[in-house]
Amino acid sequence: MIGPNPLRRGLVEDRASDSCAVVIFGASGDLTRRKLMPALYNLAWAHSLPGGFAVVGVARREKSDESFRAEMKSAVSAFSRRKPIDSVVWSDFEKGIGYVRGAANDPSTYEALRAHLERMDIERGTGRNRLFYLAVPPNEFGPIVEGLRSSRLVVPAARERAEGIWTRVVFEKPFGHDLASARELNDAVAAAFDETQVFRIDHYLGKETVQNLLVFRFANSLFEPIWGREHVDHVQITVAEDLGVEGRGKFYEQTGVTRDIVENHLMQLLCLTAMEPPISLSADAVRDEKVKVLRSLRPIENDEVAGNVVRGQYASGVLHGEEVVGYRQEPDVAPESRIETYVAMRVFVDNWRWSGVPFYVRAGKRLARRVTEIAVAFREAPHTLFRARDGGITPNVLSLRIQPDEGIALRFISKEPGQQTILRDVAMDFRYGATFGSNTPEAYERLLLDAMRGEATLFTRRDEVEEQWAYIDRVLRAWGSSDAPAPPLYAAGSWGPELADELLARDGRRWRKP
Amino acid sequence: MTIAPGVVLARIDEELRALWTTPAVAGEPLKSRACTMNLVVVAATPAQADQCVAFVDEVVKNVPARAIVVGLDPDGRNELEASVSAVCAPDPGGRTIVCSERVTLVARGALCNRLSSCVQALCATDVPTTLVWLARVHSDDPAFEPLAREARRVVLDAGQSSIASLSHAVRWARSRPEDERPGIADLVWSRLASWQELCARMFDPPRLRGLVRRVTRVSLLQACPTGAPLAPEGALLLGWMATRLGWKTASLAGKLRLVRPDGGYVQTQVKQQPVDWAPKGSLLGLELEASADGLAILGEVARQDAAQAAWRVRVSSDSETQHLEQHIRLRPTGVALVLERTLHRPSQDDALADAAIWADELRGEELAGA
Repeated sequence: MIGPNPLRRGLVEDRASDSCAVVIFGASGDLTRRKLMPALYNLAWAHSLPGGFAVVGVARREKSDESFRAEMKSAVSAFSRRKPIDSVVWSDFEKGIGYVRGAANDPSTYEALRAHLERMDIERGTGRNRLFYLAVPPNEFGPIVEGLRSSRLVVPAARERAEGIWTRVVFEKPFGHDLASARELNDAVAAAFDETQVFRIDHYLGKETVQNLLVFRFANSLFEPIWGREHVDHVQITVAEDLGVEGRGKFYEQTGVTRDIVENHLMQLLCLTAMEPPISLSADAVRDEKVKVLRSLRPIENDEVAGNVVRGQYASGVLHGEEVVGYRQEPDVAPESRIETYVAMRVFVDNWRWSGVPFYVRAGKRLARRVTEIAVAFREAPHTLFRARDGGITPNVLSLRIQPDEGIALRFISKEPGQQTILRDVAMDFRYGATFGSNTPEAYERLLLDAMRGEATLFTRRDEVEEQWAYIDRVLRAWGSSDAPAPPLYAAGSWGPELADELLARDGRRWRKP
Repeated sequence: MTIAPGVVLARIDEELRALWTTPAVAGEPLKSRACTMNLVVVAATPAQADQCVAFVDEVVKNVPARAIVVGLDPDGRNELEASVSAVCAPDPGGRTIVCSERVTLVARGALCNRLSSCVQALCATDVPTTLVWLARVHSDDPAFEPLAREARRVVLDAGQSSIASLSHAVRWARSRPEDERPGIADLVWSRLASWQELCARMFDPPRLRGLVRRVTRVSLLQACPTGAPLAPEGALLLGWMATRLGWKTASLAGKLRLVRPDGGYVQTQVKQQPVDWAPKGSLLGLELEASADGLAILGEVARQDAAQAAWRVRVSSDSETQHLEQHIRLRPTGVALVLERTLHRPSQDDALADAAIWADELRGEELAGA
C-alpha cells in the first residue's frame, strides 16, 4: 500500500492528481474547444496539473499534432477565463498535447491510441494513468467503451489497486435517451469498467453556487430547522435560458428540454434542495441521500401528466428588443416539430420532511432572461396584524441564484419609515461577485480535476441516473402517445405558455419572475 | 489643543455612517457597501502606514472589508489622528459599484498602548477581524497582544520582521485556549506556496513516493551576496520540509546537521547569488536528491526571472533514466496580491506554525553542508 505524499499534508492543493494522460474523444467538437481545453489550460496556469501530464485528442478528421495544438491555442485564447493566454504556461502545456485520428468503431484507432499513450508514459511521465473523456454524442458511447475494453486500454479495478495505476472514464450528458437506453448503456459500461472508474458528468454540479447549496444548508444552523413542510409553502426551481437552440436543431429534435435539462440539471438541483444531511461528504454518502430523494418522488402516472406537467414550444417573438424566429423556423428543425422547448412540472417529494410541499420546476429556451435559481417560499405569518392597504403581506422568499449574479437573497417585510404603517418588501442580498470576486474556477476545471483525483462526489452514480430517467420516462411516454396534444406555443421572450401559469394558479400560487 | 481620542473616534464613526446615507446623485451607478472582514493593518511608523494605504486599497477591491490602517508613533505626544475614505470598484457584472471603507489612524504616544480599544471601537460588528502586523513582535508589546486576541487571523511578514517574530506569534497563539486561538499567517510563507507545490509534485508519482523519506541532499539558492545567512524564505522552506518529513537537527563538531527519522543525514547547502530582479533574500532555486532501492531522483526548481521557473526531475533506475521538465509561471509576489492570497487561505495552518518554530530553533546556526 502506497501512503500519501507527506509533503502534500497541509498544502492548499493537498489532493494532487496522479500523473496522467487525459484522452478526449470528440476532440474536434465544441465542448473540447469551449470548455475542456480552456479548463485544462486554467488548471495548468494554477499549477493544479500533475508533473507528468498529457492531453490526447481523438477525432475523425485528419490532423497533425501541430495543427491540433494550433487549433487548441486559438480555442483557449477565445474561451479561457484567463486572458490573454500566458506564453510560458501555454508553451509548456502544449508540449503534452497530441492528436490521434480515428473513428469510434475502428479497432485501429485504439491501437494508435495505445501506442501514443505508451509514448506519453515515457516522454511525459504520465505513469500509465488514463482519463478517457467521452465528449461525443451518446450513440458513440457504446462503441468507444467496447473499443477501449477490447483493446485492453481499460485496466481492471482490482489490478489497478495492485499496480497503483488507474483508468477512468468520463461521460457527458445525456446519459441515455430514456430509462431503457440508460440501463443498456450502464450495462455496457459496467462490462468494461467498475463503477468506481465511471464519472458521469453533470456540469451544474461543478458550479460553485451549486456546491454552496450544501454549505448553505448544512453549515448554517439557521435554515435547516425551517427547511421542510412546517415552514415551507412551496419551492420553485427555474432553469431559464434566453438563447434558442443555437444551431443545435438536429440535436434538439432528438432530445427536447426535458431530456436536455430536466432529467439531469434540474433533478440534481431538486435533490440538493430536498436531500437530508449526508453522514459525510464522501461520494457515496452524498449520492445515497440524493438517490433517496429521487426514490421519494411521487410518480406522475399517465393520466396525471396533463394536470402536473406543462410543455411548450417557442414561437417567434421579441427578445431583448430584437425579433427572433420560432423553434420550427430554426435550421434542422421539422416544420411540424412537437419537441418541447419548455417544461413546467409540479413535483412532490413524498417523505417526512416534504410531505405536501409542491416543488414547481421549469426549464425553457428563449425565455425572457437567462436565470437559474432555487426559490424557497415560506408560509405566511399565522396571524395578520397589518391591513392589506398597509402594503400587504407577502411570504418570505429565500432565493438561491445559481446564475447569473450568483448569490443568495432573503425577501422579508419591513415598515417604511414614517407616521403611517406602510409595509414594503425588502431583500437582504448576498452576491458572490461582490464578496469574493469574479475569478472563480469554471465548473469544468473543478470536475476535470476531481475526475483526475478520483473524487466522485460531484458526479452522478448509476442508480441516480436510472432513478432520474425512471421519473421522467412516465412523462415522456405520455407525451409520446398518439392522442397527446402538440405542445402549446409561447412567444420567444416571454416566461413560457399560459398553461404553466395556470398550473400554479390552480394551487393559488404564481411563478416568480426572477 | 489635543482632541480627545473619544471625540476623534465618534467623528470617524459618524463619517463612516455618512458614507452610506448620502443620497445618490441621479444617474450615478448604485453603490453597494460590502464587508467580509475588518482588515486591521498596523505599521511600525506613520510613514510606513502611508505606504500601506496603496496596497490595502488594492486588496479591499477584491476582498471587501472595513480596512483600518494604523501607523504607530510611540515617541509622539499623546494623540490620535484619523480619516475615512470609501474605496470603490465596479462589481464583476459592472452594474453596481462595490465599496469598502478605509480608516487611517495614527496613534501617538500612550495611544499606542491603548490602540486595541481605539481599533475595536471602529470595527464593523459580526464580521471576523484580520490583523496584519507589519512590525516586529515582542512578548511584552502592549499594542500587539490585545489586537491579536480580537483577531481570527494574524498576518505577519517575516521578511520585514524576522523568523523570531513569527515564531513568537506562533507560540503566543498556541498558548491561547483553542477556541480563542487566532490563525497565524505570514506573507513569506504565502510566497512559498508555489515552491512547496513544486517540491511536493516531485514525489507525487506512486513509484517515487517512498523516496520522499530518503532525501539525501537539499540545496537552496537565495538572492543575496555571498556569505549571507539563511534568509526567512529559505529558512521557512527548510522548516516546512523538515517538519513534514520528520528531520531533526543534531550537533556535531559545532555544526548542525539534519537527520532523517531513519538516521540518515540530509546534506544541506545554502548558496547565494546576487541578482537585480529578485528581492534580497528571496529563493532563486532549490535542488532535492533522494535515493533508495535502486531508484534515485534529482529534482530542481530554478527561477529564471522574476516571474517564471523551470521544474525539472530526473529519475534514474538501473534500467532507465527519465527526464521531466516544466516551465512554471510563478505567482506575482507583490504585497497586495500576496496578502489577498493569504486572506483566501484557511486561517489555521499547522504547517506554518511547525515550520516557523523549527526555523527559529536554528537561530542562525550554521548548517553542515558539503
